[in-house]
Amino acid sequence: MEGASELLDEMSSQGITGAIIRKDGIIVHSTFSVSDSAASMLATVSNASDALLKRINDKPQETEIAFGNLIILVIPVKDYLFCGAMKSREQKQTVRQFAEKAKKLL
Amino acid sequence: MELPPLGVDEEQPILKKNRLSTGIPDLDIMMEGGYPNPGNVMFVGPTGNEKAVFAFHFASAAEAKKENVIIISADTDPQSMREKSSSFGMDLNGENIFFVDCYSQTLGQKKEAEPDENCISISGPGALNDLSIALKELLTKSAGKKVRVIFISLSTFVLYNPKDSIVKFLQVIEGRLKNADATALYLVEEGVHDKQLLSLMEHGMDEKLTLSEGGGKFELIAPSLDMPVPIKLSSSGIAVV
Repeated sequence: MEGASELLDEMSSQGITGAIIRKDGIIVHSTFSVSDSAASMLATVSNASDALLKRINDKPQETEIAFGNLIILVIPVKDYLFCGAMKSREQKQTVRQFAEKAKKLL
Repeated sequence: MELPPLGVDEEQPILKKNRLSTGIPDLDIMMEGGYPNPGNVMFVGPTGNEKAVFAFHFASAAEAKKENVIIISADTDPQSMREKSSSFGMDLNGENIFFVDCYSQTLGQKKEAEPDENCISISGPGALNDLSIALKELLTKSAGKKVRVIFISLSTFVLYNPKDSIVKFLQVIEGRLKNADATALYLVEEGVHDKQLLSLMEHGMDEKLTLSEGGGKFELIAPSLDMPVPIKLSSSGIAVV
Protein backbone atom coordinates (compact mmCIF):
# COMPACT_ATOMS: atom_id res chain seq x y z
CA MET A 1 0.00 0.00 0.00
CA GLU A 2 1.68 3.13 -1.24
CA GLY A 3 2.46 5.76 1.32
CA ALA A 4 1.42 3.72 4.35
CA SER A 5 4.91 2.84 5.48
CA GLU A 6 6.07 6.47 4.99
CA LEU A 7 3.13 7.61 7.10
CA LEU A 8 4.02 5.21 9.91
CA ASP A 9 7.69 6.25 9.66
CA GLU A 10 6.65 9.89 10.01
CA MET A 11 4.58 9.05 13.11
CA SER A 12 7.48 7.02 14.46
CA SER A 13 9.77 10.07 14.10
CA GLN A 14 7.41 11.82 16.54
CA GLY A 15 7.95 9.08 19.10
CA ILE A 16 4.84 7.02 18.36
CA THR A 17 5.28 3.64 16.78
CA GLY A 18 2.33 2.18 14.95
CA ALA A 19 0.82 -0.43 12.72
CA ILE A 20 -1.82 -0.75 10.06
CA ILE A 21 -3.71 -4.00 10.49
CA ARG A 22 -6.61 -5.32 8.48
CA LYS A 23 -9.81 -6.02 10.39
CA ASP A 24 -9.15 -9.75 9.96
CA GLY A 25 -5.85 -9.38 11.83
CA ILE A 26 -3.41 -9.37 8.87
CA ILE A 27 -0.54 -6.89 9.34
CA VAL A 28 -0.17 -4.47 6.44
CA HIS A 29 2.64 -2.27 7.81
CA SER A 30 4.20 -1.84 11.20
CA THR A 31 6.90 0.18 12.92
CA PHE A 32 6.64 -1.71 16.20
CA SER A 33 7.26 -5.35 16.73
CA VAL A 34 3.85 -6.96 16.50
CA SER A 35 3.46 -10.70 16.05
CA ASP A 36 0.72 -12.21 13.90
CA SER A 37 -1.11 -13.40 17.02
CA ALA A 38 -0.89 -9.97 18.68
CA ALA A 39 -2.25 -8.33 15.51
CA SER A 40 -5.09 -10.82 15.46
CA MET A 41 -5.85 -10.06 19.12
CA LEU A 42 -5.82 -6.32 18.48
CA ALA A 43 -8.28 -6.86 15.63
CA THR A 44 -10.47 -9.05 17.84
CA VAL A 45 -10.57 -6.40 20.60
CA SER A 46 -11.54 -3.70 18.11
CA ASN A 47 -14.08 -5.92 16.32
CA ALA A 48 -15.63 -6.93 19.65
CA SER A 49 -15.97 -3.25 20.62
CA ASP A 50 -17.65 -2.66 17.28
CA ALA A 51 -20.12 -5.52 17.87
CA LEU A 52 -20.83 -4.30 21.40
CA LEU A 53 -21.60 -0.75 20.30
CA LYS A 54 -23.66 -1.86 17.30
CA ARG A 55 -26.11 -3.33 19.82
CA ILE A 56 -26.88 0.18 20.96
CA ASN A 57 -26.83 1.54 17.40
CA ASP A 58 -23.48 3.20 17.81
CA LYS A 59 -20.00 2.57 16.48
CA PRO A 60 -16.59 2.92 18.08
CA GLN A 61 -14.44 5.91 17.19
CA GLU A 62 -11.43 4.29 18.78
CA THR A 63 -10.42 1.60 21.27
CA GLU A 64 -7.78 2.24 23.90
CA ILE A 65 -5.75 -0.56 25.42
CA ALA A 66 -3.69 0.59 28.37
CA PHE A 67 -0.74 -1.32 29.82
CA GLY A 68 1.59 -0.29 32.68
CA ASN A 69 3.52 2.30 30.70
CA LEU A 70 2.19 1.82 27.20
CA ILE A 71 -1.08 2.80 25.58
CA ILE A 72 -2.24 1.38 22.26
CA LEU A 73 -4.89 3.34 20.43
CA VAL A 74 -6.78 1.43 17.75
CA ILE A 75 -8.76 3.52 15.27
CA PRO A 76 -10.95 1.85 12.62
CA VAL A 77 -10.27 3.25 9.15
CA LYS A 78 -12.44 1.58 6.47
CA ASP A 79 -11.45 -2.14 6.45
CA TYR A 80 -8.30 -1.43 8.44
CA LEU A 81 -7.23 -0.59 11.97
CA PHE A 82 -4.76 2.20 12.50
CA CYS A 83 -2.80 1.49 15.68
CA GLY A 84 -0.52 3.82 17.59
CA ALA A 85 1.61 2.80 20.58
CA MET A 86 2.43 5.68 22.88
CA LYS A 87 3.71 6.39 26.35
CA SER A 88 1.41 9.27 27.20
CA ARG A 89 -2.27 9.96 26.63
CA GLU A 90 -1.31 13.43 25.40
CA GLN A 91 -0.06 11.79 22.20
CA LYS A 92 -3.51 10.42 21.36
CA GLN A 93 -4.40 13.48 19.32
CA THR A 94 -1.32 12.94 17.14
CA VAL A 95 -2.36 9.35 16.45
CA ARG A 96 -5.85 10.54 15.51
CA GLN A 97 -4.34 13.04 13.06
CA PHE A 98 -2.25 10.32 11.42
CA ALA A 99 -5.30 8.05 11.23
CA GLU A 100 -7.08 10.84 9.34
CA LYS A 101 -4.18 11.00 6.90
CA ALA A 102 -4.28 7.20 6.55
CA LYS A 103 -7.93 7.43 5.51
CA LYS A 104 -6.80 8.97 2.21
CA LEU A 105 -4.34 6.15 1.55
CA LEU A 106 -6.46 3.14 2.51
CA MET B 1 2.80 -8.33 -1.78
CA GLU B 2 -0.75 -9.31 -2.71
CA LEU B 3 -2.93 -9.73 0.36
CA PRO B 4 -5.67 -12.37 0.52
CA PRO B 5 -9.33 -11.18 0.48
CA LEU B 6 -10.60 -9.74 3.76
CA GLY B 7 -11.43 -12.62 6.09
CA VAL B 8 -14.14 -10.85 8.06
CA ASP B 9 -17.53 -9.37 7.29
CA GLU B 10 -17.17 -5.77 6.11
CA GLU B 11 -20.27 -4.58 7.98
CA GLN B 12 -19.72 -6.56 11.16
CA PRO B 13 -16.02 -7.46 11.38
CA ILE B 14 -16.46 -9.64 14.46
CA LEU B 15 -17.97 -12.21 12.07
CA LYS B 16 -15.29 -14.26 10.32
CA LYS B 17 -15.90 -15.41 6.78
CA ASN B 18 -14.55 -18.90 7.51
CA ARG B 19 -17.51 -19.51 9.79
CA LEU B 20 -21.17 -20.25 9.11
CA SER B 21 -23.93 -18.63 11.10
CA THR B 22 -25.48 -20.72 13.85
CA GLY B 23 -28.78 -18.97 13.10
CA ILE B 24 -28.69 -17.42 16.58
CA PRO B 25 -27.37 -13.82 16.14
CA ASP B 26 -26.06 -13.37 19.70
CA LEU B 27 -24.23 -16.68 19.55
CA ASP B 28 -22.72 -15.78 16.16
CA ILE B 29 -21.14 -12.70 17.71
CA MET B 30 -19.78 -14.70 20.65
CA MET B 31 -18.42 -17.39 18.32
CA GLU B 32 -17.00 -14.79 15.90
CA GLY B 33 -19.30 -15.89 13.11
CA GLY B 34 -20.61 -19.30 14.11
CA TYR B 35 -19.48 -22.82 13.37
CA PRO B 36 -16.21 -23.38 11.44
CA ASN B 37 -16.57 -23.60 7.65
CA PRO B 38 -15.55 -25.97 6.31
CA GLY B 39 -15.68 -28.05 9.44
CA ASN B 40 -17.15 -30.89 11.45
CA VAL B 41 -18.82 -29.96 14.70
CA MET B 42 -19.95 -32.41 17.36
CA PHE B 43 -22.81 -31.16 19.49
CA VAL B 44 -23.28 -33.17 22.67
CA GLY B 45 -26.21 -32.64 24.98
CA PRO B 46 -28.88 -34.24 27.11
CA THR B 47 -32.07 -35.73 25.71
CA GLY B 48 -34.64 -33.08 24.88
CA ASN B 49 -35.56 -30.60 22.19
CA GLU B 50 -32.65 -28.22 22.65
CA LYS B 51 -30.09 -29.90 20.39
CA ALA B 52 -32.61 -30.33 17.59
CA VAL B 53 -33.65 -26.69 17.87
CA PHE B 54 -29.99 -25.64 17.55
CA ALA B 55 -29.98 -27.73 14.36
CA PHE B 56 -33.19 -26.07 13.11
CA HIS B 57 -31.63 -22.63 13.65
CA PHE B 58 -28.54 -23.72 11.73
CA ALA B 59 -30.61 -25.12 8.84
CA SER B 60 -32.99 -22.21 8.54
CA ALA B 61 -30.11 -19.67 8.57
CA ALA B 62 -28.92 -20.92 5.16
CA GLU B 63 -29.04 -18.30 2.42
CA ALA B 64 -31.20 -19.98 -0.21
CA LYS B 65 -29.19 -18.87 -3.24
CA LYS B 66 -25.74 -19.50 -1.81
CA GLU B 67 -26.17 -22.47 0.49
CA ASN B 68 -27.80 -25.89 0.56
CA VAL B 69 -28.83 -27.83 3.62
CA ILE B 70 -28.74 -31.61 3.97
CA ILE B 71 -30.53 -33.02 6.99
CA ILE B 72 -29.86 -36.69 7.71
CA SER B 73 -32.64 -37.82 9.95
CA ALA B 74 -32.52 -41.10 11.82
CA ASP B 75 -34.93 -40.31 14.64
CA THR B 76 -37.94 -38.87 12.87
CA ASP B 77 -39.38 -38.41 9.38
CA PRO B 78 -38.86 -35.17 7.42
CA GLN B 79 -42.48 -34.06 7.67
CA SER B 80 -42.51 -34.34 11.47
CA MET B 81 -39.24 -32.44 11.56
CA ARG B 82 -40.67 -29.65 9.39
CA GLU B 83 -43.70 -29.41 11.69
CA LYS B 84 -41.55 -29.38 14.80
CA SER B 85 -39.28 -26.66 13.42
CA SER B 86 -42.26 -24.54 12.41
CA SER B 87 -43.55 -24.73 15.99
CA PHE B 88 -40.38 -22.79 16.89
CA GLY B 89 -40.91 -20.34 14.03
CA MET B 90 -38.40 -21.88 11.64
CA ASP B 91 -39.09 -23.00 8.10
CA LEU B 92 -37.46 -26.14 6.70
CA ASN B 93 -39.53 -26.16 3.51
CA GLY B 94 -37.09 -24.25 1.34
CA GLU B 95 -36.00 -25.62 -2.04
CA ASN B 96 -32.42 -25.57 -0.78
CA ILE B 97 -33.20 -27.91 2.14
CA PHE B 98 -32.78 -31.62 1.42
CA PHE B 99 -33.46 -34.61 3.62
CA VAL B 100 -31.98 -38.07 3.78
CA ASP B 101 -34.70 -39.99 5.54
CA CYS B 102 -33.20 -42.95 7.40
CA TYR B 103 -36.25 -43.37 9.62
CA SER B 104 -39.50 -43.87 7.69
CA GLN B 105 -38.58 -47.21 6.12
CA THR B 106 -37.68 -48.68 9.51
CA LEU B 107 -41.37 -48.25 10.39
CA GLY B 108 -42.39 -50.02 7.19
CA GLN B 109 -43.82 -46.83 5.73
CA LYS B 110 -44.42 -47.02 1.99
CA LYS B 111 -43.30 -44.34 -0.41
CA GLU B 112 -45.72 -41.45 -0.62
CA ALA B 113 -47.99 -41.09 -3.64
CA GLU B 114 -46.43 -37.69 -4.29
CA PRO B 115 -42.73 -38.20 -3.74
CA ASP B 116 -40.85 -35.45 -1.96
CA GLU B 117 -38.29 -34.17 -4.48
CA ASN B 118 -36.12 -32.87 -1.69
CA CYS B 119 -35.96 -36.17 0.13
CA ILE B 120 -34.00 -39.37 -0.41
CA SER B 121 -35.28 -42.28 1.61
CA ILE B 122 -32.96 -45.10 2.63
CA SER B 123 -33.70 -48.36 4.42
CA GLY B 124 -32.48 -47.28 7.83
CA PRO B 125 -29.59 -46.01 9.95
CA GLY B 126 -27.74 -49.31 9.40
CA ALA B 127 -27.43 -48.67 5.65
CA LEU B 128 -24.23 -46.65 5.76
CA ASN B 129 -23.34 -47.39 2.11
CA ASP B 130 -26.71 -46.10 0.93
CA LEU B 131 -26.32 -43.06 3.14
CA SER B 132 -22.88 -42.42 1.68
CA ILE B 133 -24.28 -42.63 -1.88
CA ALA B 134 -27.20 -40.32 -1.03
CA LEU B 135 -24.82 -37.79 0.51
CA LYS B 136 -22.57 -37.92 -2.53
CA GLU B 137 -25.56 -37.28 -4.79
CA LEU B 138 -26.69 -34.29 -2.75
CA LEU B 139 -23.19 -32.87 -2.53
CA THR B 140 -22.88 -33.10 -6.31
CA LYS B 141 -26.19 -31.25 -6.58
CA SER B 142 -24.78 -28.59 -4.24
CA ALA B 143 -21.57 -27.98 -6.20
CA GLY B 144 -20.54 -24.33 -6.06
CA LYS B 145 -22.58 -23.65 -2.94
CA LYS B 146 -21.70 -23.86 0.71
CA VAL B 147 -23.38 -26.81 2.40
CA ARG B 148 -24.82 -27.23 5.87
CA VAL B 149 -25.12 -30.87 6.89
CA ILE B 150 -26.93 -32.02 10.00
CA PHE B 151 -26.99 -35.51 11.50
CA ILE B 152 -30.06 -35.92 13.73
CA SER B 153 -28.69 -37.80 15.46
CA LEU B 154 -25.27 -39.39 15.08
CA SER B 155 -26.02 -41.44 18.21
CA THR B 156 -28.72 -43.39 16.37
CA PHE B 157 -26.27 -44.34 13.60
CA VAL B 158 -23.78 -45.43 16.24
CA LEU B 159 -26.39 -47.65 17.91
CA TYR B 160 -27.32 -49.33 14.60
CA ASN B 161 -23.77 -50.04 13.38
CA PRO B 162 -20.66 -51.84 14.63
CA LYS B 163 -18.10 -49.53 16.20
CA ASP B 164 -15.46 -50.12 13.48
CA SER B 165 -17.93 -49.38 10.68
CA ILE B 166 -19.12 -46.12 12.18
CA VAL B 167 -15.59 -44.91 12.88
CA LYS B 168 -14.52 -45.68 9.28
CA PHE B 169 -17.71 -44.10 7.94
CA LEU B 170 -17.10 -40.93 9.95
CA GLN B 171 -13.49 -40.72 8.82
CA VAL B 172 -14.54 -40.81 5.14
CA ILE B 173 -17.58 -38.55 5.52
CA GLU B 174 -15.79 -35.91 7.56
CA GLY B 175 -13.11 -35.55 4.88
CA ARG B 176 -15.59 -35.58 2.03
CA LEU B 177 -17.76 -32.92 3.65
CA LYS B 178 -14.82 -30.64 4.32
CA ASN B 179 -13.71 -30.99 0.70
CA ALA B 180 -17.21 -29.97 -0.36
CA ASP B 181 -16.93 -26.74 1.69
CA ALA B 182 -19.51 -28.03 4.13
CA THR B 183 -20.08 -27.44 7.80
CA ALA B 184 -21.52 -30.55 9.41
CA LEU B 185 -23.28 -30.60 12.74
CA TYR B 186 -23.43 -34.02 14.40
CA LEU B 187 -25.91 -34.22 17.26
CA VAL B 188 -24.82 -36.69 19.94
CA GLU B 189 -26.86 -37.84 22.93
CA GLU B 190 -25.13 -37.34 26.24
CA GLY B 191 -24.48 -40.45 28.32
CA VAL B 192 -25.36 -42.93 25.58
CA HIS B 193 -21.89 -43.87 24.34
CA ASP B 194 -18.89 -45.21 26.22
CA LYS B 195 -15.88 -42.96 26.69
CA GLN B 196 -13.66 -44.77 24.18
CA LEU B 197 -16.24 -44.60 21.42
CA LEU B 198 -16.94 -40.96 22.16
CA SER B 199 -13.20 -40.22 21.87
CA LEU B 200 -13.08 -42.02 18.51
CA MET B 201 -16.09 -40.03 17.31
CA GLU B 202 -14.48 -36.79 18.47
CA HIS B 203 -11.21 -37.61 16.71
CA GLY B 204 -12.00 -36.00 13.34
CA MET B 205 -14.11 -33.15 14.67
CA ASP B 206 -12.94 -29.56 14.38
CA GLU B 207 -14.98 -28.36 17.32
CA LYS B 208 -17.02 -29.87 20.10
CA LEU B 209 -19.93 -28.04 21.67
CA THR B 210 -21.46 -29.29 24.87
CA LEU B 211 -24.84 -28.40 26.20
CA SER B 212 -24.94 -28.92 29.94
CA GLU B 213 -28.02 -28.93 32.10
CA GLY B 214 -28.29 -28.15 35.78
CA GLY B 215 -31.51 -27.47 37.64
CA GLY B 216 -33.44 -26.94 34.44
CA LYS B 217 -30.97 -24.33 33.21
CA PHE B 218 -28.81 -24.87 30.15
CA GLU B 219 -25.30 -23.69 29.37
CA LEU B 220 -23.40 -23.97 26.12
CA ILE B 221 -19.70 -24.77 26.35
CA ALA B 222 -17.41 -24.44 23.35
CA PRO B 223 -13.71 -23.77 22.76
CA SER B 224 -14.58 -20.58 20.88
CA LEU B 225 -16.57 -19.29 23.86
CA ASP B 226 -14.60 -17.73 26.71
CA MET B 227 -17.07 -18.98 29.30
CA PRO B 228 -20.21 -21.15 29.45
CA VAL B 229 -23.09 -19.28 27.82
CA PRO B 230 -26.51 -19.60 29.47
CA ILE B 231 -29.25 -20.31 26.96
CA LYS B 232 -32.97 -20.94 27.11
CA LEU B 233 -35.49 -22.55 24.84
CA SER B 234 -38.53 -20.46 24.08
CA SER B 235 -41.36 -20.59 21.54
CA SER B 236 -39.11 -18.78 19.06
CA GLY B 237 -36.20 -21.16 19.57
CA ILE B 238 -32.91 -20.78 21.37
CA ALA B 239 -32.04 -17.47 22.99
CA VAL B 240 -28.87 -16.43 24.80
CA VAL B 241 -29.90 -15.35 28.29
